[in-house]
Amino acid sequence: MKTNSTVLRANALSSVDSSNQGNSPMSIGIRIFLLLALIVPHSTGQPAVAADRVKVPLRFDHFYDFEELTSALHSLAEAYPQLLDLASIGKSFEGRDMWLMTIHNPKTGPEMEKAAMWIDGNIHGNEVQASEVCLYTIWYLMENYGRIEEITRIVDERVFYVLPSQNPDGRAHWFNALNTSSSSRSGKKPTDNDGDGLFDEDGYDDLDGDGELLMMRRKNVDGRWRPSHDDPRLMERAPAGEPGGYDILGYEGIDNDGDGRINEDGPGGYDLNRNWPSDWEPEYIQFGASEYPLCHPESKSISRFILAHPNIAGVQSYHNTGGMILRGPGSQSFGSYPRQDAAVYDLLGEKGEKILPYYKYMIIWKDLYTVYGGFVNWTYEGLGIFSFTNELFSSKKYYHDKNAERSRGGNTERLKFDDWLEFGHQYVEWKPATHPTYGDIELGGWRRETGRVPPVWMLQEECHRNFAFTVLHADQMPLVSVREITVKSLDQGVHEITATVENTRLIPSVSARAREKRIGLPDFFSIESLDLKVLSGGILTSKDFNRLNVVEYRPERIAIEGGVSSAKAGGGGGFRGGRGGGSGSSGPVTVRWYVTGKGTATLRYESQKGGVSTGIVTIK
Amino acid sequence: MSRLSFSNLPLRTAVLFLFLVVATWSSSSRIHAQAKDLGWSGYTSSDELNSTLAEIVQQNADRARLRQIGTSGEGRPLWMVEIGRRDRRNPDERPALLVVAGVDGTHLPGTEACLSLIKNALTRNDPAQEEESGSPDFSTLLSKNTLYVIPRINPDVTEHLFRWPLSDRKTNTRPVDNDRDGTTDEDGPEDLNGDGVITSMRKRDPAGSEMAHEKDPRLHKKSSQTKGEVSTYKIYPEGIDNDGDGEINEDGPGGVELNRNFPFQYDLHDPATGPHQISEPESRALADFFLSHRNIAAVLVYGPEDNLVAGTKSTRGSGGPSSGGPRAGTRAGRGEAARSGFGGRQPVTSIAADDLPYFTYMAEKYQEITKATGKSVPSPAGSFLNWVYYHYGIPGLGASIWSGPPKKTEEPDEVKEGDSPDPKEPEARPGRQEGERGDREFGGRGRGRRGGRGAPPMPPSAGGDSPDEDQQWLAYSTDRLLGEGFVDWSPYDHPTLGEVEIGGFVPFLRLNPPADDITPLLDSQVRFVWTLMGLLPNVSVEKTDVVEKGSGLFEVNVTVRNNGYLPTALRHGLATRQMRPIQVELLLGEQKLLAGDAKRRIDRLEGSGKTSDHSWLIQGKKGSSVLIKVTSRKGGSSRVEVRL
Ligand SMILES: [Zn+2]
Repeated sequence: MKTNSTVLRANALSSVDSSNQGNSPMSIGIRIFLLLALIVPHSTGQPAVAADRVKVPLRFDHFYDFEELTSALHSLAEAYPQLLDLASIGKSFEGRDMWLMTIHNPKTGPEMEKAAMWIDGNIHGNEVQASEVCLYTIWYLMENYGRIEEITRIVDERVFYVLPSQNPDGRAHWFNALNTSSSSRSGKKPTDNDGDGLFDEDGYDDLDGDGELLMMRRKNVDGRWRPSHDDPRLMERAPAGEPGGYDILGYEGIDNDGDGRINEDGPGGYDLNRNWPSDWEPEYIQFGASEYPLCHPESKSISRFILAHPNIAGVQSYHNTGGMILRGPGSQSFGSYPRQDAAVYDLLGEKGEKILPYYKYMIIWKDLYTVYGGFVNWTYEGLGIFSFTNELFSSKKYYHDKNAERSRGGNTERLKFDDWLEFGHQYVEWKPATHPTYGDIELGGWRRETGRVPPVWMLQEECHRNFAFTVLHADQMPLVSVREITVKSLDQGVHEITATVENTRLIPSVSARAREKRIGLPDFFSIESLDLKVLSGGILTSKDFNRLNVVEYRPERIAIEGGVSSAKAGGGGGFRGGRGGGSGSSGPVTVRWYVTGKGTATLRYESQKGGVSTGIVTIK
Repeated sequence: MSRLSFSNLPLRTAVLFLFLVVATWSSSSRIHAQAKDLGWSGYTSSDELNSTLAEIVQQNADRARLRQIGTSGEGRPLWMVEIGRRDRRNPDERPALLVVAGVDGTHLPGTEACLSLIKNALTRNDPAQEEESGSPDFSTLLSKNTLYVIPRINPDVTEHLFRWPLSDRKTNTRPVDNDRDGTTDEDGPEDLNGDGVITSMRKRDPAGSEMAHEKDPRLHKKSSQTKGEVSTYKIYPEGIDNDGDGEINEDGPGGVELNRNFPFQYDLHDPATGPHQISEPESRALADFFLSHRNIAAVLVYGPEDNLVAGTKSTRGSGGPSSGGPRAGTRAGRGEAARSGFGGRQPVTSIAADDLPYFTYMAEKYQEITKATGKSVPSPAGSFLNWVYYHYGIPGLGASIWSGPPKKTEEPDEVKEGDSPDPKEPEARPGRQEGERGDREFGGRGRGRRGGRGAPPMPPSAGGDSPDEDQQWLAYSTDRLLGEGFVDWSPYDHPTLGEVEIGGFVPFLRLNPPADDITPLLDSQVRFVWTLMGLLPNVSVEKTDVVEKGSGLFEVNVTVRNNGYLPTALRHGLATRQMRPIQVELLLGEQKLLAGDAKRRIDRLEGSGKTSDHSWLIQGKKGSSVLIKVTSRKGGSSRVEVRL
């Protein structure tokens, strides 16, 4: 029997004998402390579990470049072969592997009969800490499996598909090439951004060879910029009528292709997160959309995996920055999400705001900006899966001040933070350089590890809180369970079997969106027997008035189009410490069959996203 | 099938491979011997196409190249023939026309037109013939331009029309669970009466929605209760309920309709459109070919859709890339309230006013040359034809070649302005579109699904809203096809329905005439294509001059001219940002550019002789020379040396 299946047994004319075979306690293996040859640089972070329990000593005060990330994933997969499966689902444009970790306990049931949580990050190559959150998720679940009861249960009940980097090329370049905190967002397929027939021919240049991409400024009596009056290391616009003295000339670079423009055609130049099939619009409406949906090897491979896994019932995508828990729609013209689904989103989003201080639960187009063809838009609008995007890190966290402004570039508070807490390491002070077009200039400004990613010593908390929110979401994925079976004897050898299935979690087994667009399969409630003959059957719409929607054809396999929604509206409903329900739909589903004959039948409720639950009926 | 690509193979190897392909297939394809004889045996089957292409291209290696651009889902090669004289100029950098047939694989005449075109291009030599036809100098076209011909992009669907039994399937054979029961393709049609075609079943049933047509009891029409009409028939597609779900033929083989698989106005939630845009190997091959050949300046699609035969009367309505489609309505006002800088633009869903005259002009040429008459047929949502214009700004033209038999009764020839279909159902125009008629009689599969995924098959309508047209088609079947286009109703004892009659129109009757009727139409199609080639943008350096200013200072002037008819970018082409500007570049030796940019850009240069002037001030030695290089992706490139 499956672990996530509640098995009920019912005998004719007798009460229901139920036995829950689920959640068999996992043996807590002896943890052997293994020293793994992990290349983890200098750091002083605290591990989340006691050191003598840690099997894979990963550090979370460190940003992993692509190679380090790959080796960390392999270490985990080798350490936990019973639960982890690491596979490459495709290659990036430049040939890097798209590593996807499957977390699944085969001893508790087949993978495709369990609801799965999809977790990814770093579709924007520069948004690097997204991958650390993914890595932390795998690591924490594994290190605490068999140790923390709730973690053990969740791992046994569910499947997790974790893709730490949707954009391995963008990640690799962010670490290894010249970038700001915001560049290397694109994939690395050469693109002709300036329409001159040449590809990626005019990117950034490291004028002084220091490995950092800095701002260029030049002394100019007519310039409109001046050193900031708050802190002369920062630049500000001179007020009208006051002298400036400086030009700001953009990021470090020269006019490589001689077209009179600087840095106008750097590596890549598109947006993988505008390349998904739902609410997609072409390049002239949506910058970065690319030639057509899923035209890139990264998005194509990911879509192939997701389409082949209809058990995916929850999606979490990690980005930076700003402290947001985002959901669609991405565009106003899409309209709004169905009321029942919006209510589910709201319940999860509100929880998220508590779990993630300084994060706000927001709607993409309304509260951020319009996105056509975004990933989470496809997974919800196209595939009917509840999906969030978290924008990791908020500058409010610098001083734990919810009124702090977002800090990008020249913010004096941020500079003080750098002086006091990072010892001035992140800000490079102005220094002279020579430019082939501009002549004598100066270079200065922030290093890439600032603004969009947290200081490394703040990373682990960021990882843990986001992971906890995602596990909350995963735990609220639908979980169907045959709750009650009754059998009544009628005249002429006919028996009436009545069975009820419930969903003990917040998220319905079929979202309102999926139902509206007929996405995927409906749930099915079936009766399988070699002994019994099914005469008729249907869905019981009112127990009190005995109203039955008779299914004319194939009554032994009844399609439940709307699935089964949360059992206990307003109650706890398995939502740890919160109100459950609220999805506004009908709750448990009851079906009834009329059968003749004697013997045994299996009642089977199967849901693509809610798992499988069975019950046994014996008629003597 | 092998997945070898021909692109890198010498021609001889390619041809050898082809023979192997042909040998493998010769046994697999057969004309439906038992089926009604519609004269389709004259059309080219897949194996015939393979051998024909290999043969004619082999004989003309100087002018043609055969390339495999992909492989169909069932493993058939997707061929592209590149026509153009092989000389120093790369054919992929010359202004090009792309001709594609069979995006809708059920349309047979297009492949024949492509084959005629290829044969003509490769055998034609006679200059007299050129003058006679009034088309531009053929020899010049062959070296200045490139013609890409894809004679059959969707061979798996086409092949189905050559097999027994013939059904109205328009989709490929990708397994799709149309009725969402967890099983794919488990309830397809059966040829119950063994006549080789899947037609309709009618059952006497007052609960139906059809009644016998008063003028001809073989036909039906919808009964109108408000007129006091009583229904007498319920209509089903021919077949049985294989999976016992109460529906007949609701989940047959396949599949995806290729011409609804492209991104413009794509409907994600209809199983017949595929799991996502450009999901099929055939659509991907076509899209990738198109996108990697940005020298393509115009596209001609042979298929049911037609914006040439009656032109494009307005930016909305029946002609040209359709303005309809499921998203058109909902997109209005898109982005108005969205934050500035993001999503402020609205997708264009009708032909730009500035571009319309070009469409009209080309349609007039078509009518003049082919003498064809008929009505415009809009493209379905998600069509290739609309995609090339709406997302890439390239003129997309569609021709169905054959527009049905001559009309017996007088009726207005034009679709009225504003008489456009319900935008939610751009294809649901039975009786107005030649192309859509073929599957109308027993739309159990294709059409029924359009209402939504897994919707039960719509009762086929053997009458519907245009009984007069049905009568004409019945007469056509009788007069032209010796009655083979219609199966007379005969009784059948159906396993679940009981007493029924089987009969009705034969699939694709209205789309594909006997091949003999197509042959006389092909010459004029070929002439139209050459005419169209002559209309492509043609950019060159018109004149240069040098003004000496003294002390080694020279002003270099150049006039760039578009001698073609089409502009180097349509107005909407500029809007799509897919048009690379014409680049006018001054290449200096020892000389010095005193001011300005060496590279100039022209966003758009209109045709019919429009010019653009550029000048540079340089310093250099008298008598030395500079080079001027003009590059237009869709208008060709040239370089001129100028002596100071
Ligand atoms: Zn992002």
